[in-house]
Amino acid sequence: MEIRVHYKYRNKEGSIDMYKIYIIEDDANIASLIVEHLSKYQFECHIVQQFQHVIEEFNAIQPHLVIMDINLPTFDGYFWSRKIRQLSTCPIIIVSARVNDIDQVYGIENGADDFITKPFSLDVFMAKVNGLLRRTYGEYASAETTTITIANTTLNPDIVRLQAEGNESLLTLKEMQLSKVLFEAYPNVVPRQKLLSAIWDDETFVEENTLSVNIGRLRRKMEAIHSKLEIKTIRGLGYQLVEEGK
Amino acid sequence: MKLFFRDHLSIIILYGISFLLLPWIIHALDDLSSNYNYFIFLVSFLFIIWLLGRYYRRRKLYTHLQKDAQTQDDLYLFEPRSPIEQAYSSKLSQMKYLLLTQQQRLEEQAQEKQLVLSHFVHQMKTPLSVIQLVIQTTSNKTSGELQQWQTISKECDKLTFTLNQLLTYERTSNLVADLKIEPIVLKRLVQEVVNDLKDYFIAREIFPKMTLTEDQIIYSDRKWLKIVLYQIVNNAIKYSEIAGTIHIQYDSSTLQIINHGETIPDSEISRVFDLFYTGIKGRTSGEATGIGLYLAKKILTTLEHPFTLQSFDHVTTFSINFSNSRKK
Repeated sequence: MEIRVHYKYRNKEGSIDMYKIYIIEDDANIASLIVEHLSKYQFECHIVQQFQHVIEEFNAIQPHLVIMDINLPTFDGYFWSRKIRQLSTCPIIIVSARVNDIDQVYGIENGADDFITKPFSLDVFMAKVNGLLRRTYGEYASAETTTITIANTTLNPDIVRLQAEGNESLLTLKEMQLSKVLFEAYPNVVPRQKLLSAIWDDETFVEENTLSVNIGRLRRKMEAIHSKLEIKTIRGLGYQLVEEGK
Repeated sequence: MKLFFRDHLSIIILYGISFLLLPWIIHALDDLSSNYNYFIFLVSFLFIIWLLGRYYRRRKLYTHLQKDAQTQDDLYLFEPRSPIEQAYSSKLSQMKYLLLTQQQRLEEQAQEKQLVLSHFVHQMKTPLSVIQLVIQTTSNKTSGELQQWQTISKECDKLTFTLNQLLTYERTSNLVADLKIEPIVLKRLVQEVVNDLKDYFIAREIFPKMTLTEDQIIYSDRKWLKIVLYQIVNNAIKYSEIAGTIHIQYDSSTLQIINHGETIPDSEISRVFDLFYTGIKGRTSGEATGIGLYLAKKILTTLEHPFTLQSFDHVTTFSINFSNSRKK
């Protein structure tokens, strides 16, 4: 499925351009998986070619953000963070298996802006990348691409509404979070766990019936606006967004 | 031989003098038989002087031999006087040197092992990350596929948990040196722990219910207490019945973590804190490592927080008492 949310910026000439991300990671699998994921969101990715020439490559690419591993051949990630800091204020995210506080402190002290420990979730990773880009370079140039349309129904997160056939319905925060996950996964089944995870609240966590209650409300709202979509319960597994009659 | 003569030099001299003086004393006293008492006094006097001298020179040796050595410093004999003391002292230093060399070698070995261990754990995390990234980037078409990936993902989480436990265990070896006691808002800490375990809660469909308030402040080491709570809550989830609730409450300076599930038999309760003890339940489910509660006990004992584990009628409660760590 094509992802509809793109993060781009307006360059000096005024045209819309892709953010460039430089990935310094010695594990080829991790690097390529990160690239694969970032590319879906239309980021221009560069993987390090020669570990002795990080600075030269950095200068050639002029990235907007750097992903840095710590354990690298020749010099470690702390060293390169320090070197890059001398040249540029470009944000650096360290991705490392080291979990000690001291490693994180040392990383930040050497110029990194954030620290992610392996193994990590891609959602958290993307959130950190986006957050740093937004903080460093301002709002995205293209914010209008966030709506998702499936069949006759459109989910518009900016105004927190579900629209169909000229009708619209205002969603609560939890309904919004649920429908976003369901719409983005369409037409695949979304496991209960993923939905519970989406509505989990860091303060009050999540309660037993929260999911079924909110799915029920969402169903009624979809019905009320004459949406052709419906949420099907897949027993023992989760929920699936389907188009009526298909 | 040389040491023997040097050590007995004083008594040889005393004996020699006595012999040399004997004819003179006999002559000076005219007749030995009438002044026998005086002769005895004279000889005893010399003997006592010699004994006192000997005691003064060897006092340290005797006290040292009789005292139990408590620390390594007790194995030293400072400023030895007599030859035997000097010889004893140098022997002690030799022994100490040998012990220290051996100790150093063992310490180096232990350190190397620790280094290798932590290096391996970190090395293993990279392939784990790759597997988890693959899981996350794979979009599933059928529900069968989805279930398979979910199983793999769950197993990965277990591996991650065990690897982190291993790292924690390795770091507890010098626990006391690492402590930093500070005021902690218990609610915030519990929230962090529950949120860290979010995926596990969700995967087992268990719901946390916490009734703590912001004003419950205790003094402890944040990092280590968090590790303990993480282990306990993790266990609570592991042994909870599916779709149950875990209650976390604080009452009269005691934090209670309560889960509903199989009762732990009395015969096992005292042993679950032993290293590698898994119990019948743990052995049948094959999930227990026997490390978590051992770590919890070790850390709580060092932090001086008394704790209890109770289990009746399918309710298991882990309580930590903070009454001696509250805000004064």
